[in-house]
Amino acid sequence: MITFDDVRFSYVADGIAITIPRLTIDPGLTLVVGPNGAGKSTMLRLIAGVERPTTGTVRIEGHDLWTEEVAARRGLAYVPEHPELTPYATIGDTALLVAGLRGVDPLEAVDALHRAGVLPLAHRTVRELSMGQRRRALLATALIGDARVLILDEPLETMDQEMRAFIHELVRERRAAGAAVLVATHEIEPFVSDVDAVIAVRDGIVHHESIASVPIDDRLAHIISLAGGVEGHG
Amino acid sequence: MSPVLALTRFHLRAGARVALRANAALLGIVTFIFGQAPAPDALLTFERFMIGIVSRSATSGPRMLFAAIAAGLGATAVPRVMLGTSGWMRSLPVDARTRRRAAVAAITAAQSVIAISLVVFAIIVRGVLHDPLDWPRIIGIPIMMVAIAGTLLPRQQIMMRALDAIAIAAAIGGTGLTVLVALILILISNTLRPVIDAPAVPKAASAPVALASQRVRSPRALWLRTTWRAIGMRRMADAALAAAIPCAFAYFITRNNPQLPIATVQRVARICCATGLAFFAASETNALLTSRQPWPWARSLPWSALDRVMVDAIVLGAPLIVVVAAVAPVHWPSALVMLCMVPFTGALCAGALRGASAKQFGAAGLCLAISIPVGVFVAIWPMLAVVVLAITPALLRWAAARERDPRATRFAELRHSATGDPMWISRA
Repeated sequence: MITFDDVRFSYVADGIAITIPRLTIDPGLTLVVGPNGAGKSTMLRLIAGVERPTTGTVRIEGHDLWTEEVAARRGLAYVPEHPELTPYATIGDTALLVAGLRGVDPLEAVDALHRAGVLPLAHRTVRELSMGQRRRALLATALIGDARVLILDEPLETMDQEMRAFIHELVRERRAAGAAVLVATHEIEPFVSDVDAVIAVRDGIVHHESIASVPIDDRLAHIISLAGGVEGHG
Repeated sequence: MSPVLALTRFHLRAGARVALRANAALLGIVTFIFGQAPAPDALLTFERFMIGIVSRSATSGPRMLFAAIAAGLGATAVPRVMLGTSGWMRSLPVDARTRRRAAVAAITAAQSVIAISLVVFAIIVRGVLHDPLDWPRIIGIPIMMVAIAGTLLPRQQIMMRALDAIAIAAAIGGTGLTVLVALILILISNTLRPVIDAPAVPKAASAPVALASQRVRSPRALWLRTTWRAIGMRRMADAALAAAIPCAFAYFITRNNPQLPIATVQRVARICCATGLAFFAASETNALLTSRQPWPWARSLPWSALDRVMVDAIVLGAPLIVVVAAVAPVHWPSALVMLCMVPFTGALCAGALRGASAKQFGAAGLCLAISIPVGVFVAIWPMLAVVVLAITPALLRWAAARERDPRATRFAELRHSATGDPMWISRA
């Protein structure tokens, strides 16, 4: 579903932020773990088409993210760690933009805002919202259309208990629908029972492992060991 | 360390440092303007200018020009020094007066080129030109710099600003008495207690909108509106002023020389139009570069880089028609020829915008470097307008390629404006 082919990426000319020689991410829940600054968010940005690899290709469902831009992004929903929304559009405008680009009914945008609990804030810009509300607004955009690739970067951060439960439900729902769900998080425990694979990122090097066969009781310890023992229990 | 000193040091290491880098562009323009006078007039003009600053001179023109340059440097520094000062920094144990003094000191420091020039001028005028130095005039310049910094500070009482503005005029006067008055005015303004402005209050929320009933816009239209909001009518109008000089020049030449052959009139109209288009385009593109914060997340949506570039080309290209319309009364067929430059320049601006945040001149450098020669060629050989139109699609594809390339997540402090940036909670 998501394939990396000889991907290297760096933020500066003489450095390497992440290297992924060859990797295929299948449908199901994949946790992306690793210490701070290891390259987890960078990897998710490469999959989301926010950053272009310095070399190599990233494909979503067979479409190259940078030569078949629209086709590759059609079923892709990305919720970044920092709520990146322009202050020059309201939350409602942003939701309508996403609905328009994904080719779905604008009513889905309304429904998504309602489900994320931000419909009453639809006329506000991002500057008028709290951090939690901003993240809810971005999460709402991920609910528009049926995302076949859902990318969540630290989704539980700043969220209240109600939204945490909502995010878990969303992850389970998308996973059950056959989507590839990628979650970068330091809070592993809430996802342990659903996780299918783990990508451990350390110093820009990626290690992918399927853990569907690992007994649920042993998974947490196994994932923490993959992450280098730096993750919390959430 | 005193609070003023600590705060000033912070400003010097943060906003003023960035401002000093940004000053290079303004100084380049000043040098260019001085260099335009034909030799030996250029040296004579500069000599008179230096004498006017530090020695006795019948006119205050050089000092007014010096003040204008200092104001330009100060104005460049203000948004950079004031960035974030109304947010978390308000929680620090520093009173409003101290904050103002530190900001004034930092903005004054950002005009340090003026102080350095003053010393150099004094040495040249005394040592090389053997003219006597006028000490009140020399002392008046640093006082003028402080007064300019005080005047430029945003959000302060009108009385403080008025005192500082009068102090500027007095310091430009350059006599012992006026310099003393300027100093006293600054001291008075400095002892007034600044009013701490109210915290940022969000706009009064209207009733929740029924989003479903909102007139559905196409994604491109929404993006177009978002981009237009980022640049705004005021910034666009400011940018249009850059085209005023070349356009006025076309009228000046043709109206004052009725004997000019029609071929020359046509060429003047086209060259002035080309220059006006280039200046306006460079100015508006830099305005958009500064005002529209990067929105990396938008790159994950299902639209192509070409789509985004096209919208930018429309937003930046459409207003350029104003320049063509302004030159049309001089010779409308020539203006019509130059109309072919509009789509080309729009596409060029959209391309120049990409990856420009880290460049010293922003997007303006690339805009001017390409649009001026191309425009002048079209002005001289109007048939080239067809070629320019024909290569516009290729230019859009080049712009789209540039849109895909930048590291979207990297932060470039040089071109950052906190106004409207969602990551800055404070009103900066």
